[in-house]
Amino acid sequence: MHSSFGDDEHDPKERINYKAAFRLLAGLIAPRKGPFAVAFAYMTAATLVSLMIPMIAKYVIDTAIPGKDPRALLLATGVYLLTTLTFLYFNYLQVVQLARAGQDLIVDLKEKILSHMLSLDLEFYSSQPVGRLTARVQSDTSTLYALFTNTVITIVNDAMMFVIVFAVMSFYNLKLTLMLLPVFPVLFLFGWIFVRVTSPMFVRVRKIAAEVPGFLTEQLNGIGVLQAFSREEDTSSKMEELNQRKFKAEIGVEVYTVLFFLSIVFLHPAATAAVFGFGGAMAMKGEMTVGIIVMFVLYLGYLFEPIFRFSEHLSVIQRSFSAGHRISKILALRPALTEPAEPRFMTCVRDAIDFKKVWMRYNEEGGWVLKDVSFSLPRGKSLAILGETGGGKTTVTSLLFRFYDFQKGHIEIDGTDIRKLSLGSLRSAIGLVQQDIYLFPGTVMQNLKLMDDSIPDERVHDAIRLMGLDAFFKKHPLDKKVLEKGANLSIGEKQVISLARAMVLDQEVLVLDEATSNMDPHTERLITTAIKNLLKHKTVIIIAHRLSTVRNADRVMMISGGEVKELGTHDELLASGGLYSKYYKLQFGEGE
Amino acid sequence: MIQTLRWLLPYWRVHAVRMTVIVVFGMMSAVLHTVNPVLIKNIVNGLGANLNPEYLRHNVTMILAVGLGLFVVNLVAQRNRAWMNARLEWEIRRKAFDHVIGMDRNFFHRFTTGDLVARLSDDISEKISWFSCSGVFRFIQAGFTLTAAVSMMLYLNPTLALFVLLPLPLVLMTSIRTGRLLSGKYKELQESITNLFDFLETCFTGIRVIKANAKESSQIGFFRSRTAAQRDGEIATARLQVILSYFWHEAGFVSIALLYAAGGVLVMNGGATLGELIAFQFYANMVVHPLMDISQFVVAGNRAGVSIKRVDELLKSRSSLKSGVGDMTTPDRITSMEFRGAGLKNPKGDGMLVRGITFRAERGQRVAVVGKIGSGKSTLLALALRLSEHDEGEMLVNGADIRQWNLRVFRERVGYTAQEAAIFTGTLRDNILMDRKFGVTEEMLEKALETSQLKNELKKFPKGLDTVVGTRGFALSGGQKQRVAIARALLIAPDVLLLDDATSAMDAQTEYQFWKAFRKEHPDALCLAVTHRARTIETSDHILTLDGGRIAEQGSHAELMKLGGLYREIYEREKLRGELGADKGDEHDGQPG
Repeated sequence: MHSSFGDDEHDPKERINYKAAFRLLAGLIAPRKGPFAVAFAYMTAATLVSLMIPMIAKYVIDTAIPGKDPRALLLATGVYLLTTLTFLYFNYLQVVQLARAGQDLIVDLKEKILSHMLSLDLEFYSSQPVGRLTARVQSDTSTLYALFTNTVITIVNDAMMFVIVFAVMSFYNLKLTLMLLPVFPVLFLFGWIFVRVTSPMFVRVRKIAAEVPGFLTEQLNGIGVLQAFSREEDTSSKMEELNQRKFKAEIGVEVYTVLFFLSIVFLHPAATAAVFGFGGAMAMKGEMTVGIIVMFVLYLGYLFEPIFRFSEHLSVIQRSFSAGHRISKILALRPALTEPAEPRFMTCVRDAIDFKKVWMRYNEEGGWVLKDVSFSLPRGKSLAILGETGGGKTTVTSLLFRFYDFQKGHIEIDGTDIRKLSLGSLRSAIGLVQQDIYLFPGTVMQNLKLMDDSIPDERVHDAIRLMGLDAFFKKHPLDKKVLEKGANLSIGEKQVISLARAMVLDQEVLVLDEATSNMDPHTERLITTAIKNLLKHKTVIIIAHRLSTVRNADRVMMISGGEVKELGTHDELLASGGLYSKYYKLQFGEGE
Repeated sequence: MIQTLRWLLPYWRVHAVRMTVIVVFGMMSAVLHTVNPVLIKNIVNGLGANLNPEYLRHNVTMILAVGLGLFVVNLVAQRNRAWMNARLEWEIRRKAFDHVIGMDRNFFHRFTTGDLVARLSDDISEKISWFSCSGVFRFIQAGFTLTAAVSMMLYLNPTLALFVLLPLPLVLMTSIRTGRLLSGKYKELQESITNLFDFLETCFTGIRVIKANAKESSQIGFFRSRTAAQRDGEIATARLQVILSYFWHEAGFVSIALLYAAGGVLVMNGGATLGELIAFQFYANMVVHPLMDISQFVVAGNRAGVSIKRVDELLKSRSSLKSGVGDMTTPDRITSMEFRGAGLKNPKGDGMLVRGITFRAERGQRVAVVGKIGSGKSTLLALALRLSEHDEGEMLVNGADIRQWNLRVFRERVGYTAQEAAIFTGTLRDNILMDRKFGVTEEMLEKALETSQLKNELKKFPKGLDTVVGTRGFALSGGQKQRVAIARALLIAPDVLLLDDATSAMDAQTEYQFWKAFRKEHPDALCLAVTHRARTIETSDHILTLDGGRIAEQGSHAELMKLGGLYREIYEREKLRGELGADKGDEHDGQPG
């Protein structure tokens, strides 16, 4: 198991598939050309309007003031105010429009990724830590958001602005403009080199930064051992070494950043000096006015701004391709377990579920996890499964849902092999209740419906009544908001909710994975009653941990080492004095 | 805010020279900034009159020189600020970390690992570091810039200065109000994002339930409603952000409009020169920018203040470990340990974790500690190792008060394994040696490997002792981890060995082999072992049965069985568990995930 660090970091050894990433990015923007075109139009308008401002300055300096014409002056001021406000307004429209268009695109993409992920097999989830999956849906998409809202449009706009500004400047004075022109390609080259040099350094900085919490977690988890062996000083010097590395890496990359930005900052006054120097000389010869010089100086401000943004854009583009690559890799995955070619549909179990000599292993190299497992569960009955951890209990239930395929034997529902059944109808007909759950950020009601809004509220109320949980849900009203994955509810309360959910979802057959946690007697009573009610109303396979559950079940199955050791009613097995009777004493001995 | 700055003061003091450089160069930068418009004024006014080329060249050269000067001054100031940010992060973390690793067990009950990690990494790196120098000193520089620009304007032309400054208070007030609105929106946005992360985590961890109930589509539906909330949040923030940016970058336009209208008239009437008018246009933009630093100082300062309180809470915690009257450490081996009514208070609230613990253990003995979960077994071992200091009764080592021993020397003579075998990223060798370089020979390592039953296991590792293990390396099974922990504890042949359930994940045969080898190799060692294995319990020299933090029964196996009380109950259950194979260890794991 090689777990990850820095989840949004690109593995440097892995080559980015630029083609696939580009296809993904282009495919995203293709269907929404309209909104982006509108945003672009706003941006163009804003830029064009703002480019008028230096001309107004020129008018004030060259025409209004020398002409001693207060009305012209007032007019110019009015135009100046109007222009600026128009610019600010268009700019505002553009930002909001882009945010809207970009968000719509990202929201669609997120849904696409999530629904694709949900279609994948359980193996996909066991091979990837949860943090990495959430990073794909949330963090990678927000990188792309930056790309679409800012980078792409700004780059086009900046390019356009360059052309227009140079056109205007050369209209007023070609010679001076030509003198300034060569500076800018050089500056962009600078920017490009800067990004090339520093981006691996930034990756290093982020990696070291991610090492810090990792190091701290490891050391603090082992603090008892460290103290026991008097290793405090060594640990301290390891921390010191890590601190120092982080410091050096940060300071090292910072020097490039400062130098790059300050060089641009310095070139600005240098260009200003050039304008005044050469422009002033021309003005002395009468080839130039003061207004034009000031206008040139103001335009320089416009030209320098994109260069600051340029390096930022490059790194966004780089990160976007990494993100796009990771996303398209997930979208390319296909589930191994799919609907059969001619599926049979089922709505409920009529007669029985049968396991017939089932053998199963997770992979070729591994050993058999289930060996020759057979049992039959008639409709309306219940089966409690007992056995040690890793003995195969969960595997039995996983097979029933076809989370995995088995290698030998048959699993049949009403005589039909489950591999011939439609996956969707199979899973809709059989419910799974897990008690160690996180709750979703929503109301208790939504959690009971497992977020399925098509379930009528009435069914929830009926289910609660049937389960005898009215009092509980008076204390925790259905519109109560669940906070932080259920942190505002106790473990026991969450279990009650998960059980009530089973009744709400209303499937005939239930698989119940009972939790073992100790809880207060009141909640314990609630849960045992709820389970009892479920056993009464449904066909249930239950991985049992409670004595009362085992006793209430119609039959008990002992599984150990992947084999069915004993199968029968509680009384039969207890009387036979075998494995179950020993287990029974061990597990429940105290309560008697 | 004052408290935040006062907390940082000692750190700044250490770097007094550098800090002075930052302040002085900040001042120089502010002054240089105000020179440029004056030069522009000179040139423009010169162009209006009869300009001589020498004067022009002089002023142009000056513009270049000021630009160069600003380059150098800003380089020094910024570089030093960045250096200080990183350096202070380092120093604060060092201080806090060193303090934390010296704390007693109570402290680690009070603060979870996750909490400590958050305080030592995120709080220090993200919230405190930037503010500790840049945040504060950019604010100071902004003050300089404002002062210098305003003074220069007043010196050049008070009337024009009035036009530029008139709208400023309004701009500042509105920008602060918008900023408040924005931080409210940020909070909402952040909540909607957290919500989405929570949802995804719940969805992915509960994937079995979702798939088993075929509820994928309702998940998507719910996700859609949540992303809509984030979308609205993002758009609302973008809206306010752009408005706020107007105050920071564009607000000069009101001043400039006033300049054009009123200033222009003034120039026509001869009340000001054209050059001054143009120079003031540059000043108008110059006085708006510092407003950004000022409002950022307030926002970042509040955040840093919260984080500083969190770090300070760690630094203010005191360890309860006391040193005795004097150092009575002797070179003798530890031959006996005695508890006389020892007890430890519960750090969370009143009551005692353990109390009235009385027993004596001699060299060469193995004392088994048994009891249910939460009966105080681990606490008892922690007392014996002085990870916690007893609050009641006495604890004696070789007949003398345990506190009279030098803590370090004492612990070096004691071997210990924790309940959760701690494995650190590094090679197997590193994990066993734990940087104990002096006096450790290759034979000692070899012996420890043999005794801990790790020797035969080595061939299972890709690179033997040099295999990298831990979170980022080769994954060890529970039983292997425990054997590494035992080898680590046995390496320097301790006088006392404390094993906290150190063999639970081994199979019964391996454990038996271990005890046999241990007795042979370390016949004199005193051993205190928390254990669940019936065979280990019954062959111990002495058994302590804990119940609710007290010793309920103690004696030999035969004696306690005769009593027929708690010990007998526990022992028989463990024996049954052994027969059922429920304790066969975790070496053979069934399924993935």
